[in-house]
Amino acid sequence: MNENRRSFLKKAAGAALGIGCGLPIRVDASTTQLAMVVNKKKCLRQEVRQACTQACRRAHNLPDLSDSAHEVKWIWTEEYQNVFPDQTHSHDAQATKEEPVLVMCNHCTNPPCVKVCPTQATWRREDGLVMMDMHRCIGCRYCMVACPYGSRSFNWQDPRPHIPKDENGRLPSDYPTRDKGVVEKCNFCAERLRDGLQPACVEAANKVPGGEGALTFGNLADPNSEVSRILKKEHTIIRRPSLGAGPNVYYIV
Amino acid sequence: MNDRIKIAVGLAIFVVLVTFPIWSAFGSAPPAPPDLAKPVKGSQCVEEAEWMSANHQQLLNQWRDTVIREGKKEYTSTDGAQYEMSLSKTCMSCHENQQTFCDRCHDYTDVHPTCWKCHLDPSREVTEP
Repeated sequence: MNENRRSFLKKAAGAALGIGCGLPIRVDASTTQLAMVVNKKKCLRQEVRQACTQACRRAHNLPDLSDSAHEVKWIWTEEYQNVFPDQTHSHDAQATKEEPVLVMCNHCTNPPCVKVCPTQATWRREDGLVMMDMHRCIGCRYCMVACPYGSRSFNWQDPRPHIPKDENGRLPSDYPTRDKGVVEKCNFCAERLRDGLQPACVEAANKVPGGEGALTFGNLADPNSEVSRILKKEHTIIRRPSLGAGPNVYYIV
Repeated sequence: MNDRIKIAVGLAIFVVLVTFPIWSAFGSAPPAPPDLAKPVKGSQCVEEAEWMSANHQQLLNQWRDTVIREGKKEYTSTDGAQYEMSLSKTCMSCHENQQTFCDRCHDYTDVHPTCWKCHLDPSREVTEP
């Protein structure tokens, strides 16, 4: 045994360095993180909220189902106290608690729905968009259980007969309808982004007088984008930050 | 060994019944391939027509994965032309009618793809194709 302390430490340091080099180092190389900023005050007007939800319903051929257990929602209105349960307290004014807030899929940075999906029918794209592949969905609804925001809807029935049609029986959009037995949610209008357009709700809100800027969509990884500029300037909150899902829908309250 | 005749007759009946599909079709011509509606617009398909009739399902699956998973939309065909990867926008812009094109051949070959449970035939089902 001719190992002295010095040579042992040298070898140990070398080994540690070697192991360290082999470890996967997590670097977020993505240059895109799509995000939405919702200006709650501008969305207090019903016309603004309705324009957004209706534009979405038409763009994605959503069915009108009166039964709340069966309804399919991509963007809709909830009360402030239910959207931000950890931001309200017992002395909040009733009017504040009941203020309407637009909600949608948060396209989380650390999405719990993606973790539980057994078929990778839902996954986080490199641009930060949490996407659904309807071809792969087996309708197990684990994602609906995992999502802490209730952003996902299940098709309990064939939605096509319930989609509002024009007088010739035609659907409002060429976006594929869904089949019975799949889960769906807001996709940040991935099909419109491919064509270089803004999401349908953002475009609709901007067309309503006074609704300009109610919704802002953009790339959070770009410091010069409109969303980054707003987040630097305004006080914004996210839904249930303590859960650690990392929502990418921000609210100016 | 008294049952030899019974067994032979039974076997003969069995063989005749089992081979019924073969000998009943013997001599008759195979059913004529369906008459598919030729596209009005467009002079050529994204790939050779013959290759398409054999491989369109693989091509559509590849398009589906590329569009949904990678977010791309342009397809470069073998001859270098660019097309948007879309069943309802690209394919259906020439093959205008699903019923007289897709369905006729799928009925003939007795396959039942589920494309049309979700995807729409723009000329028939959509307000603004």
